[in-house]
Amino acid sequence: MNAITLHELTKNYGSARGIKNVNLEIQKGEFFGFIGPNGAGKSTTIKLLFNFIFPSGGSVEVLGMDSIKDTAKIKQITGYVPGEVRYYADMKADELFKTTMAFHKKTDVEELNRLCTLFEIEQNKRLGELSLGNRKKVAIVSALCFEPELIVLDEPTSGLDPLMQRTLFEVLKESCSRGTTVFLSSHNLTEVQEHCSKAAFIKEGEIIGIEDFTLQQQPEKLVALFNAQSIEPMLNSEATVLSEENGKVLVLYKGDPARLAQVISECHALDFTVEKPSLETRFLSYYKGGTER
Amino acid sequence: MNVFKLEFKANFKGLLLWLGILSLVLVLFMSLFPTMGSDAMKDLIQTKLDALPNDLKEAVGLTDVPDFTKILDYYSYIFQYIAVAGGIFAALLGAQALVKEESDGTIEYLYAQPVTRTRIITEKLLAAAAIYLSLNIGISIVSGILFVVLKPQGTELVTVMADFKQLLAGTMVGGFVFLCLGLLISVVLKSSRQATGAAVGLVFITYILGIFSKSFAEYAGWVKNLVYLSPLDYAMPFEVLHHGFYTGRMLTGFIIMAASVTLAFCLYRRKDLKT
Repeated sequence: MNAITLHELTKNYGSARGIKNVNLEIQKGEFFGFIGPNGAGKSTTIKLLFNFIFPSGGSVEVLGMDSIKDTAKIKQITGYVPGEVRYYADMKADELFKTTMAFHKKTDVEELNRLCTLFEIEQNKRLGELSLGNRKKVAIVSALCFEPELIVLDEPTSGLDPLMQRTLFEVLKESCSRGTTVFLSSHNLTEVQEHCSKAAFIKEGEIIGIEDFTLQQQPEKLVALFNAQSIEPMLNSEATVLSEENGKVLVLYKGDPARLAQVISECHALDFTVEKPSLETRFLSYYKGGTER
Repeated sequence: MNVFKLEFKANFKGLLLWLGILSLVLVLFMSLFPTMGSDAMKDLIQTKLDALPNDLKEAVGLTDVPDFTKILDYYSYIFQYIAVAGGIFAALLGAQALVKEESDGTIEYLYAQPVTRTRIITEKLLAAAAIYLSLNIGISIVSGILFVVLKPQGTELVTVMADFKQLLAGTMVGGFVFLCLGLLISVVLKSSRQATGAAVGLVFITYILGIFSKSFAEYAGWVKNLVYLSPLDYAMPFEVLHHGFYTGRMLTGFIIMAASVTLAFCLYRRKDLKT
């Protein structure tokens, strides 16, 4: 069974951007990254998962349940860390946790105490007095303390110091190893590449690519050609032009590596470099609208 | 009942504040009551009342000349202003019930918890009702104490309290109408500030319509029907005391409550939350 299934999911916000025909399947137990620039539709997708908003078309299934009809049942086993934590300012952290536990009908505080220690939560401070990062930590603990089967995090590392970021990912990975599905929305490519097993790229409301980091993929190469006489040979193989300026052409080569040297020589460039592309490059190739030929 | 608890707690401070202020107003005005019995005061009031045009007297709820030496006549005159304040409080409770959390962003926490929207709106409505009820209970206790302390000799406390119960019940019908209309405002409007403005505006505008209905009824017959648009007039304290309840007005009140709550529920269940 999938943890999340989005089928032709569409949300129109009048003239403003929403998402268009998003299809996505996330398997149980996956550590799934959801990458996109600001305004690409990441938060919209998450809001649809939780039925904060209603879809204009398509459907959402979470842990085999309909996101609208079974929303309460879904939330019973799903934790959510919002991008911007704006919880009750007058409440103390421990009151919030108590409320969360009560909502989820949990009485066992062992996990809660463990998380509070790990994230160094100041339980007796009012949430309104906490800094951005500390509020985020409270939100993380509140989303994890009832041991959910699915955890959805919207930009969880913003505001967290590097040490806490590491703790967060350790905790998430540990949950993941126990079978919990993690859905991590982020615009930080490094953290996605480092921690996720799979990632979907979203741009202007559409999913434009899915990367499986666990698969041995055809090695891609980032080729820079300087003052090439022709880039036709490159384009005739599987390649995406990323940029073209001042005689420098940046190409993401996806063809047979054994033929790369020959293809480059056919371009008659003055100089060239070949690198292993970072996820960032591939990401930019999606975002900058590099044309596939 | 977790949503109820959250909501009740969130409104509790406001309740104490309103109760404190209204109690103070009651105590201040009621402390003048003993002086009403003196002949000099009686003459003074009678002269002043006679000098007032009838329209104005009707507007401020003095249709039948009240006998201010009777504790409930005097009380009911003051209580109509307490009722206006209570109406504003009720309207605000309803109006803030849903939109406040959307404006503050706290709804994101609530809505990530395993509760349906129906449950959220139900428990919030109940919490608002409980808070409004608590205000009235508080006012009843304060009033009861004032009656015990101030009632003139020969007045039975039991009769006073029985009449007071009627008067309070009537006022609460108006308050609940405002609370339910407030809930509808809370679903429809986009920000907490707009909702506050709309709620206060609603109480004042309907109150003015009520005054209008009484003051100008003799010039045009239809005007008196405007009273149905003024929840505070469904059971004016002084009228309840001397005429009892008007069935038509009460019925209108209950119909408005049922309609606005039903509409609020339907809209909220399909609403995109602004976060």
